Order: sequence, then C-alpha cells, then structure tokens
Amino acid sequence: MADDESYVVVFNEEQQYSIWRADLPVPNGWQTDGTSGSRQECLDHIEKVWTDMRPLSLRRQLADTGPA
Amino acid sequence: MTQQPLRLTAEQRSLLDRLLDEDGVGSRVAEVRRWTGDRAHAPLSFAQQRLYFVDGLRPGTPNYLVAGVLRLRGELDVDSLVRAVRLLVYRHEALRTAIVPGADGPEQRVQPSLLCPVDIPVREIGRADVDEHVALFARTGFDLAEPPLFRLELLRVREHGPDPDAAPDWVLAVCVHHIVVDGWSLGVLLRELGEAYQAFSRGGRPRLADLPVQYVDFAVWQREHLRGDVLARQLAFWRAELDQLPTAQMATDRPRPAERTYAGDFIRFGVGDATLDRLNALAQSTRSTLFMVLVAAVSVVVGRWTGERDVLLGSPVAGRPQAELDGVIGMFVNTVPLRLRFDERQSFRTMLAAVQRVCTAAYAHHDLPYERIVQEIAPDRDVSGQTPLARYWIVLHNTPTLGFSALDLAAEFEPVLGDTVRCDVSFQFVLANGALTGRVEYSTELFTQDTTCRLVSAVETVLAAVAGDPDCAVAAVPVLPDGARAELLERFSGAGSPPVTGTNPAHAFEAHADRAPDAVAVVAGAARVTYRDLDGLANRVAEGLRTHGIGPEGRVGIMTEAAGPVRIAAVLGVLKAGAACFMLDPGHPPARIATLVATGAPGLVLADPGVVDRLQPGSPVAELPSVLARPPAPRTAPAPNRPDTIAYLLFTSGSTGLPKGVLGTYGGLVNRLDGMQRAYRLQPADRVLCKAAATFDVSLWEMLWPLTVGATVVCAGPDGHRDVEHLHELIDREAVTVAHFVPSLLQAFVDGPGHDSLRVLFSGGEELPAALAEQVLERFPAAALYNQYGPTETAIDVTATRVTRPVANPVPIGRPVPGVEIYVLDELLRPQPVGVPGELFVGGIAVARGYMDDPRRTAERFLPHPFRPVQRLYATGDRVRWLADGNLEFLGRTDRQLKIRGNRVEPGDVEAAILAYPAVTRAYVTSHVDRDEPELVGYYSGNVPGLALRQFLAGRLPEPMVPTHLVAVTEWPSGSHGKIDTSALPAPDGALPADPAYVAPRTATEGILAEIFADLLGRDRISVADSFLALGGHSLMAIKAISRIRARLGAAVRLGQFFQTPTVAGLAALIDQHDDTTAPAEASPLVRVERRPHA
Repeated sequence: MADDESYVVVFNEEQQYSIWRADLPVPNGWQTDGTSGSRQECLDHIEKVWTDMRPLSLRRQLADTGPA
Repeated sequence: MTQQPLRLTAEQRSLLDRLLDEDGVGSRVAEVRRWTGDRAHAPLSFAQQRLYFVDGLRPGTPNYLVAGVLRLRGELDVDSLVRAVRLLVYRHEALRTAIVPGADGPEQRVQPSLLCPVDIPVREIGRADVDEHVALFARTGFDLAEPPLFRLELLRVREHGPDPDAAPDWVLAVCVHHIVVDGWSLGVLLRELGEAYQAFSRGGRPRLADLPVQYVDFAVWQREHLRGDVLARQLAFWRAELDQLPTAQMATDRPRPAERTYAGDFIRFGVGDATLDRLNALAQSTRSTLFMVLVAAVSVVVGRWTGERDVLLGSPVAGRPQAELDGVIGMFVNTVPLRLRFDERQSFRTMLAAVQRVCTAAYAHHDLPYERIVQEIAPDRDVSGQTPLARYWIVLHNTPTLGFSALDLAAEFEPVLGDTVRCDVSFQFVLANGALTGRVEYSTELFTQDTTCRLVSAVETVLAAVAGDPDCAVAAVPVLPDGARAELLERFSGAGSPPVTGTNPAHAFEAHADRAPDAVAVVAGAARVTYRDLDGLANRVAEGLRTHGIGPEGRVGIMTEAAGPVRIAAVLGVLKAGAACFMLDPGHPPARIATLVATGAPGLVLADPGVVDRLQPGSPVAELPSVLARPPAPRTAPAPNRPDTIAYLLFTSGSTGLPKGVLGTYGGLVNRLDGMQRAYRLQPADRVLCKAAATFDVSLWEMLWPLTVGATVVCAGPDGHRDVEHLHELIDREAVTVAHFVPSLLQAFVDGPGHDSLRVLFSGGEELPAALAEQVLERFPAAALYNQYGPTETAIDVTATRVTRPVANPVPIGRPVPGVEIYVLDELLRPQPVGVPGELFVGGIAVARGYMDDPRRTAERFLPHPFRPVQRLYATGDRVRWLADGNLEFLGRTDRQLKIRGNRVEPGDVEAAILAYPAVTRAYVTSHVDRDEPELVGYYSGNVPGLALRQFLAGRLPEPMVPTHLVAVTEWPSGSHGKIDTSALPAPDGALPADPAYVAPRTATEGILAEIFADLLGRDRISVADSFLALGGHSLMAIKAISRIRARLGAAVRLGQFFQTPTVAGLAALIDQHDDTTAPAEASPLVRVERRPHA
C-alpha cells in the first residue's frame, strides 16, 4: 500500500523495535533511536539492528541460569 | 418535516457579497418576469419535478408536507379569518395550483380561485386531544391533481386555561404540500394571514404589497435562464467540484431497504454559551461565518464516521436570490452540495479557511438546481427514489420566529415536525435568542437512537474542542467524550480481565496422568493410549531433548504424517522440556520444508521414519520410533517457564508472499487453554476431535486442551481435515462430543447426517456465513455453536461468541476472550467510536513474540501500544467495528480495498450485500483486470438466479460497487488448512450475465414502447428484454416515458410499476393484460385513460 508518511524507529526497554509515525508523539515506554525516514527506510534499518528478537530481560535471565 | 431554509443575516449577506465581488464571481442575476403563457399548462420547476417523481412512487405519501399550528388566544373572529384565508388563496397562485400529467410530462395547472374553494372546518376538541389530532392532520397526504394542495382546520379548545375567565384557545392547523411551498413561504403565509385578518376584523381592507410575479413565472424563468452559457458555466463548476465523489458512507445499523418509508426521529442537543461565544469569535477572526464553523465541525465528525477525509454535505438554501421572489409562495428551497476535502494534519483554523472557500464557491453557483446536478453528474440509481448524492445534510436555521401578529390575539406558531427524514442524517442547528441548539434527525430505517446519540456526542465534543483550541491539528480533535473513550479502552477492550498465567500444559497433563492413569488419553484408529502410557512416551521424548541440550527457547521440529499418540507425545515431550514445538507438514514440497527449517533453525527435528527424506541431508533429525523406544525416563524437573518464552513456531502463509514463522509464547498458549476451559467447561468424559492440520494453530488446542482436563483426544486419519465421510463415521463410532470446523468444511459436513453426541461445535478460520450457521443450528439442535476469530499471531483465538437464533447477518465474531485486549483503531491509532469501522488490534499476553528471524515484518505489524507503556499491539489487518453490545462485526481485510474506475471499494461491503440475498451461502469479491481496467468480480454460491442477484445488488449498492461480473461457484477450491484458495477461483468468462441477443418487438404495443425507449435513450433499437435503467435511463426520463406511454397507448403506468419491470416486454405485458377483456377487473393494475391525440 502506498504510504508517503514519515516514520521514526522506536524501541522499548526489552529492546523490541518498531516504527511509529513521525508526526505523532512517541508512546510511553518507547524511545527513538534517531533513525527516521520513509516506512521502508525505517524497516531496512530495523532489519540491520534488531538481531536478537528475544526480550532483553529474558536474555538476561537465561544468561543467569546458564545455557540450556 | 418542515424544511427551514438557510437565510443569511444581513451581515452575512454583505460579507458574502463582498467576498463574491472580490472573486469577481457575483453577477447580477436576471430578473424574473411575468410569463404570458397558458397558466393551465405551465412547466414544473426542477424541484417540483423531483417531488412529483417521488410522489409518483408512493402516491399520496405524507413525506413531503409542511405543517404547523398557530395557537391563538383571545376573541377570534372566525369569519374574518376565513376571509383572510380566501384572500390569500386568491393572491397566491401556488395555493391553487395542481400538478397534473400533461402531453410530455407533468404540468402546473393554476386554477381560478372560484374553482378552488378552501374549506376551513371548525371543530371543538378537548385540550388533551389536540396534539394527536394535529399529528394525524399533518400526516394526511394529498392527491397532487386535486388543488388546493393545502388544507386548514380550526380547532376550538373545549377546556379553558388556568384562568376561567380568559378567552378560549384556538388552534389553526395548516398543512401544505412541499411541491407548492417551502419554509420561507410559510412565513410569508402567516405574516400575510395576520395582516389580512387584522384588517378584516376591523372592518377594513388589507393592504398587501403587490406581487409582480408568481411561482409559475419562476418555473418558466428557471428553464429559460438555465441555458447556454449560464448553464454551461454552472455545470462545469459542479462537474469539477463533484468529480470522483467518495463512495464511503457511515456504516448503518440496518441494511438500506429497497422500499423506503423515510421514517425518522431526532435527538436534541445544545451548545453552551461560552462555546458559542468562542465559535463566533473564531468565525469573526477568520472572516467566515458561524455556519461555516459548524460545517467544518460536522465534516470532521462525518469524516471520522465514513473513514474518508472527503465529505459531502447537503446544505439547503432559500433559493431566492432575486428580491422580486421574497414575497412569493412556492417551492424555492434548493440543496447545495458542499464538498469538503481536508488534511487532518492542518489546524482546524486552516481547515475553516478551506471550508469558507468551498461554501462561497458553492453558493455562487446555487442557481443550478440540485435535481439538475443529480441528473447531469450523479444520476440516481436508488430505486427507492432517494438520490445518493447528499446523504448528510447541515442546516443553520437563522430565521426569526414566524410572526403572525394581530391585535386582540396572542399568537404563537409552532411547526409540526413530521416523523420522516429525507436524507440519512440531518444536522440541524438553530440560532435563536443568542443561543445555539441543535437537532440531529436520522433515518430510523438505517440507524438506531444509540448510534445517533454517539453522533450527537461527537459533534458536541468537536465543537467544544475547537472552540477551546482552534489551532489544534484536526487529527488531534477528539470525537469521543472522555467517558466513551475510557469505556472503549477499559471495558469493551477486555483490558479489565487479567490474563491467566497457569501451569505449563504438560504439567497439567501430568497431574491427570497421576490422578487417573488408566483413563484413555488418545484414540487413533483402533489404538487407545492411556494417560500413563502417553506420559511414558512423552517423558522419553523430553529426556531425548535433554540429552540433545535442548531446553527453553530451543525449537524442536515435529513432522508426522497423521495426528495420533506419536505426534501428541512429541508435543508433550517438547513442552515438558520447556522448548517450542515447530510443527512441520510432510505433505509440503521439500523446497518449502527446507526453507522453513532454514528459517526456524530447530535444534532437532522429530520425524516419522517415512518422511525423513523430506528433510535436507545434514539436518538434525531423530526418528520418533527410536526416541520412543528408549528406556523409560523419569519426568524431568519442571522447567519454570517465563510466560514470554516461546512455546510453538507455526508458519503462516498470509495473503501475500513469503511465509512468516509466528513465535507463540507459553503465556499466550496457557492463557488460551485456560480461557477455553473456563468458557466451555470440558469434562473428563468429553471426546474431542483432533483433525486440524498440524501447522494450523487450532491443532494445538485439539491436542492439548483435552489432556489438561483429563478428557480424550480422538484423532482423525491423515486426510481428516478434508474427508467428510470419514469424519461422520469417526464421530459416530467414537461418540465425539467436541469438534472444530472451518466454514468451508462445515458446509460439507452439515450436508450429512446429524450426530447426537456432538455438544460443542466451533467455527473459525474463515467468515461464518449466516445461512450456514442456520443450517448448523438446524442440524445440531442439541449442540452449542461458537464462532471464533483469531490470527496465528495471537494465540489461536482472541474473540468468540455463541451463535444462537435469530442468527445475525453478518454473524459477529464475538467479544474479547479472557486475558486479551482488543482495540478498533483508525490509521492514526485512535480508538474508533462504537459502530465506526477501523482496524482490529490485539494486545495482552496473546500477542506472539514476532516472526522468526524477520525483524522487518515483525516491526511492521507489532506496534507500540498507544495505551499501555512498553507493551505492543498486533495489527491484524482486519477491518471490524464494535457493536453496541460489545461484540465485534467483521467487515473484511483492510488490505483488500480496491480501486475501481477511480472509486474506492471495500470488497467486504459488497460481499455483505451479496450475502444478504436469501439462499446465498458464501461470497467473495475481488478485482479482475480486463483490458487494463480493474473490474469487480463477485463469486457466490447458493441456489440463486444470477439476474435476480444482479438486480438485488443494483438496488442496494452505489453503481461503482455493483460487480461487473457475477460468477456462480458450485465448489470452492480448498487451500491450506481447508480454507478457500481464492487464487484458484475461475476468471470471469467475460459474458455479462443475461446479455440476451436482440429480440425485436413482437406486438404493436411492444413496438410503440420500443420506439419511446429508443427515442428517449438515444438508441437505434431496443431489445424487448433491455432494461430502461440499465441503458442509462434515469428517474426523470422515466417520468417522460410514462407520459408518452399514456399519450400513445392510453395506459397510466405508475412509476413503481415502471421500475419493477422496466423492459419493453414487461410493460407491454402489463398494458396488454389490461386490454384483455376476459381478465377480471381486479387483476388489471392500470387505469384506463381517455386517449389524447398524439402531439
């Protein structure tokens, strides 16, 4: 679907990434990572940086309890 | 309903004139002069033509009456009143005009007043009976051929008021047909009545100003004036202004009936003084008017309701630009379409400037009657007579209260508001005594009072918001008052029900294995496996995984040919290890399996020996028989799973392209299983059918739910999800009590025998057609039927409802299930009011982690939760709306919207219309590209004649939404998981249904009819089966056709009859049937008319 809107890349404390319209205020609990642009550009960026999709707190807990 | 015209105050008029002069648009309008033609055969004005047409559909309809009561207190000189009325009848030709059929269409016939006596019956009536009597009086229609088209009644109220010595009360009830009068005219009538009465009662003679012209003169002038350049200019303006009209409408509560009664009701509301002051200040500071501010505010509301920022509002105007028309009684009111397109990112103030430009331009071109605009630019297709051009009206009544004043009499006038409304919704504002109040009138055939209350609430909210902050972006202007918003986010959403975080399903199973080890856990063919034995098998699997180093977050592929104890043991084993089940279908092409395995990256694949070869060499495989042949293993220590660890990986094909691997969590799975148990209360004696494909998430609960409560899983054979005969046999043999079907399979299943054992039936995975639901309830009267909805990305199902009689059409998808949050949001992620379509978003524990190794598509669909910090919502891409009772109505996919000849079409809406036709069992609408132009194709199944379906749709849908091709489907191609494979539907073969070859007229009657059609439609020849409407004939042309039929064949065909059979053959049959002298008189629907020589 054609979408000319401008977006920003956002992430939360679990290091989960998503996109958000640039003209709307960023929701509670999320912050921008500085990247903005078209929808595709933002998604391209996320594809590069979001390498581990497990929630951060889960990763930490698994690290603590040792490898499975 | 009294239609009060828009009347600008002097200040507004001068502002408008100034603006028009600045634009160079205003031009001196030519004077209306007295016509010298025969006033017994005068043409109709365009507005009158339209009313004549509407009346013709339902002769004597009470829908177009202007009525009111004049309450008088004092000594009433009845004779003088009668004389005054008679004077007015003499003075105003409109009051003694009839509308009669003529040689080439209807005519106005002005009668001399001698031939038009007006009677004023005087009655005594009890005070308590007045209102009811007046209401009845105001609803009595007229025969347009019998003047006067107005009547009066004088009521003397029997009981006195509180003061026993006071003079009696009188009520003068007035009722006039709108074809000769409008609101302004009523004002003139009452004012002059007062003056005349006053003069007569004092023994004098009234002195009323000269009337240089009458309504007939205006009608003639209108035709002469609107020609050549003038006409061309106005048409050009409107063509440009109304180019590519939005097709979106407000979603109605009831389907639009083909036959309308126009019944209506209204809701009042008020605008506070402080708000009004600010709105006036805003108008002034932007050099616009209060009316324009109201137009902008209403557009914001209507835009939210239709989903398009392109809104068309009808604005009634007085229609009397010439001063010489001020005192004339007649039908002048015109409706001006206001086309408002706005960008929500701009401020309301900026939007107001745009609204101002639109209004100014529109009023500068309001000479072109609305009917003409409709005829030239948007010819109506609605057989019920209503033009679909302006479904929503806005009016600001600024007229001072109608004044009848006479000394010795205290008088008060009150319009009698009818219970009809001529558009879908009419936003009426009244500015009186410095206060702004409103009424929203709505069609009760389409909307409920509830829905309209929400609209009213939205208007109030918007006005208050923009009054407070006009520079706020339109996108930020709320349409929901705080209470309603909170209700949607807290109550409707289900957010109030906390999720259940229970035990790992495997541990629940273990508890039952301990409690009743000999109970049968799984039935497959002849095999019966007890809980104890199944637990043993599962433990071996879990132990095997442990030795492989697989635990939480590990993915284990499971690939077996059929459901059975082996597959189930594998699943349980994986869950015991706290890992994730990665279900694989050995029936898929090896290339696909390879892709899935590469993406899923399982630590191990547990497979049937016979299917190991489906995997790429080098994959980590363990054959299930060897795993299960291991020595018995004890239970592994329960792995405490965080709810957000993954429990399963299922690939979903989705509607486009590459499959996505959904990572479901333990939290989501556990919550769903527990939710199902709480809702449907499975017992240990229950026997649950397990037949869904392993890659379909439903299979997870088919396998696990029974085992968490001590019940039995009954496995179908390998082709279980398709082989209906096998299922019937199995259900009988094993006395299955619970089963799930996708509707496609359910349709085939319900055609077979019933089963007494079945007590719960689930339908999900596709839309459940109402007709099918009915059949199921009929076939399984003892079973409870539930409709469920849920994408793979959200733990199996997120909404459900029990389906009972009467079955709603469409069948709702239900309410949020426990632990799930549901939101209906627009593109800006704002909650949509109840009844307004939006996209369905899911929140809460049911939301999957995302797509395996696909951050891009995960980020795209799993979005920041606007209402709960840190959380995410899954965007389903499904279009739904809330119903007032908290259920959801499914409308289609958001990504299915099509563009057909420039019009946006929602296939879901067209499908709903097709499904509304009785006996249609399923519908699917898509586009088909033919010679570079996409066209709509409607696929349908059911015993339905294509031509009848087409006519049905043409009567219900706007023209761009009626499918060009209608294709009957006897067998729907089945795809993965048993759902419809829409890509396998046959392309339309290009032949329009019922495109008959040319058939020449066969009788004299047919011949004449064909000539009349051909002449009016501008065609060389007309086949006897051709529809007048399909060939481009519209309503006004139909009136001409009827006149000519009357003239040449002497038969009076009624409009309704014409539209029912608009073909040469059909009409000829109707006409000739009357001629047949053997037919009884009652059978003949036509009236014999004296033949007139053909002009």
